[in-house]
Amino acid sequence: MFLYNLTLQRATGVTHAIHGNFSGTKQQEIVVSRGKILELIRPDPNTGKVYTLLTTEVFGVIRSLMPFRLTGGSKDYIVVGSDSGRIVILEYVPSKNIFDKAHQETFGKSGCRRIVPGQYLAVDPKGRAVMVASVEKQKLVYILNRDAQARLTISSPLEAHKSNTLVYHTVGVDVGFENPTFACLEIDYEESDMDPTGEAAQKTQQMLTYYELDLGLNHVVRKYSEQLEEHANFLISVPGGSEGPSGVLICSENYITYKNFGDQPDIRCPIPRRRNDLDDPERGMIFVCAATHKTKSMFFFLAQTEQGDLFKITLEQDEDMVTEIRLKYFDTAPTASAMCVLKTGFLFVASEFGNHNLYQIAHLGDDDEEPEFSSAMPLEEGDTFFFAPRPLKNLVVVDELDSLSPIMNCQIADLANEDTPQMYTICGRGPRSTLRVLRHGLEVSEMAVSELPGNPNAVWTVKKNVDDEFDAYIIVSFVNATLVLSIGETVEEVTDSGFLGTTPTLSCSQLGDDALVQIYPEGIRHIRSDKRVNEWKTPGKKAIVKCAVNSRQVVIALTGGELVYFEMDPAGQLNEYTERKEMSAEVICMGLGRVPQSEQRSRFLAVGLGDNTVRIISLDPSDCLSPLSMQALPALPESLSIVEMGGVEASEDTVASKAGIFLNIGLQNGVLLRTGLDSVTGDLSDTRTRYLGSRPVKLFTINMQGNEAVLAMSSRSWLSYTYQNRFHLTPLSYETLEYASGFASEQCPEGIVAISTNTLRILALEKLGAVFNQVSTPLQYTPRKFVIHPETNNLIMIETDHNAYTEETKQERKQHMAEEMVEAAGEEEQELAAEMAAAFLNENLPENVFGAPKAGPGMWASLIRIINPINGTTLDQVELEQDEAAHSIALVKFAGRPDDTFVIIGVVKELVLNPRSTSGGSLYTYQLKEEGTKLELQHKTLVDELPAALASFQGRLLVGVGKYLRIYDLGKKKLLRKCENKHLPNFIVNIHTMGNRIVVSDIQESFHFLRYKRQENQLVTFADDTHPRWITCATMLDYDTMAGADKFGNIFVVRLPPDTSDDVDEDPTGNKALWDRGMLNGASQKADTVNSFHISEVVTSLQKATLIPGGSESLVYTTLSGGIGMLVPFTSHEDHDFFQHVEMHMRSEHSPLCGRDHLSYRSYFFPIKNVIDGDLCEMFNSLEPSKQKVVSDELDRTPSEVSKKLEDIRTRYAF
Amino acid sequence: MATLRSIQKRRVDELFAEDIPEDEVIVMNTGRYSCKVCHHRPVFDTVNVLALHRSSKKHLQNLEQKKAEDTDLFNMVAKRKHEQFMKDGTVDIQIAPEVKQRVDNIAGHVNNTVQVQAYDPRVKKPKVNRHQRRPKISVESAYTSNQDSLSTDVPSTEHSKPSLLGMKLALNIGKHTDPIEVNPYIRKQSKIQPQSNPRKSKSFTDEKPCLLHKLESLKSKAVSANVTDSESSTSKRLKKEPTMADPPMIVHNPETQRKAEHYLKLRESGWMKDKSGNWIKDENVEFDSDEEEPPATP
Repeated sequence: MFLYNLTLQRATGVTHAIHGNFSGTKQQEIVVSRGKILELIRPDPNTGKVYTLLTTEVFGVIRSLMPFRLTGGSKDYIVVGSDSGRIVILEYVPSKNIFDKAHQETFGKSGCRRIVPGQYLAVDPKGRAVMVASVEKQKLVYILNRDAQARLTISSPLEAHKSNTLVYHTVGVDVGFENPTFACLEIDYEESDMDPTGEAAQKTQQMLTYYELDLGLNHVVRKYSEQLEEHANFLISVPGGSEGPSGVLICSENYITYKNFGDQPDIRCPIPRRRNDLDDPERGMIFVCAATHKTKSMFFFLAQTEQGDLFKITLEQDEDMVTEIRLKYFDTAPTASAMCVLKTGFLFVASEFGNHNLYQIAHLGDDDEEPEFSSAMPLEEGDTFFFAPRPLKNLVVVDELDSLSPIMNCQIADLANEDTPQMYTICGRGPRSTLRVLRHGLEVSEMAVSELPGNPNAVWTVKKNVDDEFDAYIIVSFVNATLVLSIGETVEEVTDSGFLGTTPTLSCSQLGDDALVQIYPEGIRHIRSDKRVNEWKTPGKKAIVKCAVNSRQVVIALTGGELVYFEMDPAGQLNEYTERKEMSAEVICMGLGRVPQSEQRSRFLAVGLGDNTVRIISLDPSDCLSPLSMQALPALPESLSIVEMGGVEASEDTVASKAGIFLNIGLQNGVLLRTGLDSVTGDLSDTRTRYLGSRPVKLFTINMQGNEAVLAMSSRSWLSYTYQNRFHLTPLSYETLEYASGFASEQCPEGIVAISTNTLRILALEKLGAVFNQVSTPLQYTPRKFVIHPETNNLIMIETDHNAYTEETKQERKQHMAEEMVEAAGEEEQELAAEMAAAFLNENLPENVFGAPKAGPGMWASLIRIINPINGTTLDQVELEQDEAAHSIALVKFAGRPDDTFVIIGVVKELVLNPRSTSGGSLYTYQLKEEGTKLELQHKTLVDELPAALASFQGRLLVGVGKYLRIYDLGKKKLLRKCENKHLPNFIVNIHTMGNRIVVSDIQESFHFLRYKRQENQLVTFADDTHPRWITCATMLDYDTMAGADKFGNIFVVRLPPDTSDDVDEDPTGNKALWDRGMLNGASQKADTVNSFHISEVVTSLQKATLIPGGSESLVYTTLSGGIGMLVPFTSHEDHDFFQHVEMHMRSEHSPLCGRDHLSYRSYFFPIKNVIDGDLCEMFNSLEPSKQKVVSDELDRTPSEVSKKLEDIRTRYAF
Repeated sequence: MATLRSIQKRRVDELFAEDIPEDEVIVMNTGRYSCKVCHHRPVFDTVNVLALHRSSKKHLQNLEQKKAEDTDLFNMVAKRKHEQFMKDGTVDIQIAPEVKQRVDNIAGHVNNTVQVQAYDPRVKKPKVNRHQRRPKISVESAYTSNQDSLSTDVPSTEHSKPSLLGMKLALNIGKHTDPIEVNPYIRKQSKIQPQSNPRKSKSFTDEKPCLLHKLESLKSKAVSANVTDSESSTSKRLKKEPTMADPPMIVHNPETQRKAEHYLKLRESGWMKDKSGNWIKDENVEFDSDEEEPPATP
């Protein structure tokens, strides 16, 4: 079986974020790493929205990311430390919109290793050197310079190795123009290793070490090292030279310290804590990330604690010495993995889990009443400052980037009874968790809906003047009248526009510079800016049936198939062309492209005729109305549209690249054809087909993100547009529309006005390029698993959080603390204390912003929730006791009571995670009552370990309790154990059943195939696997085949050989064991690996599903980083052969960006087997045309054929 | 060219098989031959190899032994007949069929040679479907003696011996006239249809248990009913060939089906039968506190 890996949505969780001027312009951009993806994001300073400019897969693991700017340079380079054993310096080329590899230096073996550098990167702030360090021992420094042609040069590496040393963090110290210095947090474990008692390990202290690169002598020395008192987690470099005092800020547990060379004494300040925090007061507080903002006159740091509180840190200086550190509470944001402060005043916060935010720094927090804490304030040792968190004051949320990370589980089903299935994903961590329903399609925001008198059949928008930014009129045509609405503050009807209101309109447009034209069945009306009207009437009894208009040309078709052509002359007069063209068949539709910039006319007219053809007719003055080419169609055409797509417009730093002209043909059978139109000869070539819906397809040209796009309307509306050099044809998540036109107004610069039955709707499309649109419902704790109740389509899910309090416990603690407050207050302050206590009890900080209090290890909070996924309402909620954690859930119909549905929850008490120990597990049996909306507890059954896997099996329940597999039946007072298998090796994670066959996934030892023998009441293992696999999720593909994923990011398919017999006996005497032990795990039959592939993200759910109606099934997976992908089977050997060759050529022509070898990357843990990497194949479209030609020649095809094949395999299974 | 060669080969095989007495060979339902003369019952793939074996020293020794035994048997029968004659003047005695066959052999009343049916293209072999290709046996014949099945299936006189291949054919025919067969593996035979509710693809697992339940029930019933066949019990170890291991065909008797189902239900609930046939509780299984007796037969 050969599979093809496709990515539907890339990972959304961010691991690193850096900012800089990567395009070389004044505008700052952000480069973000999402594990194996590098993305360039630009926030638009006017709108505040964030646009993704470029997304590339690097086919490697990005371990560190830093921006680098040469001295006196204006452009930032990107230095990437990855798992390839190479340091790579990338340059963003805006004209081609790619990352160009400026340098690649190899220094070690590939793979994430302890001693091979790549984990830490430090950059000299003045742009002279870069240090790349490993976790242990090795540090290399590269000197970067520029040569005569102003290109970046890199030197040979200079070593700064120190054995027996572990590194926590490295940073480049700003020493002005002295020798570049790097500061590292290190720990020397040599003594601890030698000491068998373990005392030395307890006493070893961290060190702050300075490494100096001597530019003159060209080597690196370990300049200075001092021991630190508290354990530090990271360093912040303080601006130096002429802009600041230099030195480093050391963030450690509960303290932040400033250190510098020379006479500078250490300045130490405790980290402020929240007043009245429910957290354990013994728990230390650390800073998790920081961002620096530097201007010519001042600088400050924004540091975030693990609870999400942002502090503004400033240093007070006295001459050259720093005298105090000042901290002020700034705001609270979700805990971030990286933060960037941009010069334009934006703060980009890349959250650890959940949506990322872009804030505008509205105030710097200088002159408000917030208390400022200083290191100079006297405090006792061990004491700290307190502050009260409050809602956002200094920051304003400007944009939110959706992120699904982490996806805990996903199921694909059509619960909303739409034709396409939806994806129900439970994502997030803690109080920021959500249930998100993903649907394929663009998100449409409805700006306005208004009712119209009667049912209109068409709508257009016109500008009064060609230079106007916004549209002036909306013209709505009815069966026997035309309504003209003006767009301004309000939308109201006007009668003096010049348009004829008593007749239906066929089309209208803006003509020339400032004139309008209206075409109706009896003639053409040319309305000039001074309200003069020129009319052209149809001859005799003929009427105009169809027309095509653009800003300079008008073509009409009269009854009888006669075409009349009008062109506007420079004077603004509409002149009829002398000849008229007779068409051989009835004219059904016509299409004219827009007049290109600085040209007089559009050259091509497309005419769709009743003989199932489309003809291209030239409108060139030399051969006007002469046919150029023709294309036969499989059905009658319904509408035509000529657009120019795929080009990049010229701007200050890019070169305009030639766009392609495409003719879009909408057929009456619901199919859209897109054909390339040669701009010189008018030839039609390279047709792509897509089925859109059941109704005839109508096409409308609109503007999207500055480029032309086509709106195709059938039973579902679709938008065809270019985004990031790729064509997209995405459906709109909206109801059926009938007619549309582009719309531009102040509130809505790139909108759509459309009609649907008797309503006029104004819509805007915002998130272009997103494959799925999300509807999210917030949840309380981290959701783990859910089941779908088939009769009511409700979801029953379990939410469990470690290190958390239940609501009840929280209230108790609050009560407790309030009482303590009152007690602690003296006699006089009793009233005040009581007031404060009351206020404290009443205040409720929303947890999704301020985080939930951390309880301690072994403390769990859990609940069971029944939720309606469509409208997001919680129907029932059962909260479990403190320290009870629900880990598994199953929906069972027992054989003894076939009419009742039971929900079984596997619960464990006081679970300590590593090493795993519990104080007991149990199975809670609930009955689903009141039509699946209420849970009623029946009984609790005690088991000895954690029941992590549950499955319904032949009218009874299969439970995996630790490493025992048991069958339980429903009893009156508890569940009764009927059968047990004790021979599974470690811990049961998943159970799948089919017939009498049970497939159990072990936590470490891959799949075990068992069979239940009824006549002996035994569970017997008859087959297992030969490789150790740490399984996270699995699914049964068929009776003999299992697909699974492991925690190292691999996906594999395992199959039993055809001659496997599951009729095996358990051997009670043990004699068989002596001579037929078989290999490894003991079952005598082994499964084979059919496919194996490395995804590099932990896969959390696998499912066999059909994503498009009428498509075939594929294997869909979701990952912990928020990525969604699918594995698609090849149906023919030719296809597989073709793609294998494409992949082979792509491996050699387009080597991965960070220097990793593609084949060894995909074979990270197990050799890649029978899977072709679609992500690499699809990079064919972004190759240079010359390279594309080379590759396609090798395959005996043209580049467009190869692109078409790549697109086909994607649209056959997905979108 | 190839057909010519195959015809030639077949003719050679026929020639080889011509003089192999049929009662010295067992034709297995996999098409292989086992020598009945040798007590260790060697198994051979083709007639040629069987013929080779028959000219071996070991086999000839066993043949001698067998002849001696047969002669003894013959003498014994004659003695018995004489005794009977002395009693009431008749020679009607009860002879076990195996003995009868061996005695007849000795007496030489039989046309002893094996007849291989010559190849005739007009004789159409009954078409076997792919999922039925595995030869199956009926319940009754599996647990009654082999001789009976042979003799009941084929219409033949007492003394005539059906040919080797004729037997095979007869077995095949016999299978197809038997009632409903059940495949041990219910494979999904139809192509996967694109489904509007893809989740429901799991629902067919619910169908499977019923059929397989029936299967189990009958197999267990048959097992519990008549486990006298020593051969089948030893072959119950890892059964590579699903032939003998297949559960026997469903008997269209709803009564036995119900009983079998009930037995299996009790079995899977944790009730076991002890030596005297009473239902007792399995110690490793949990029961409801008020569950003392197993549920009664429906």
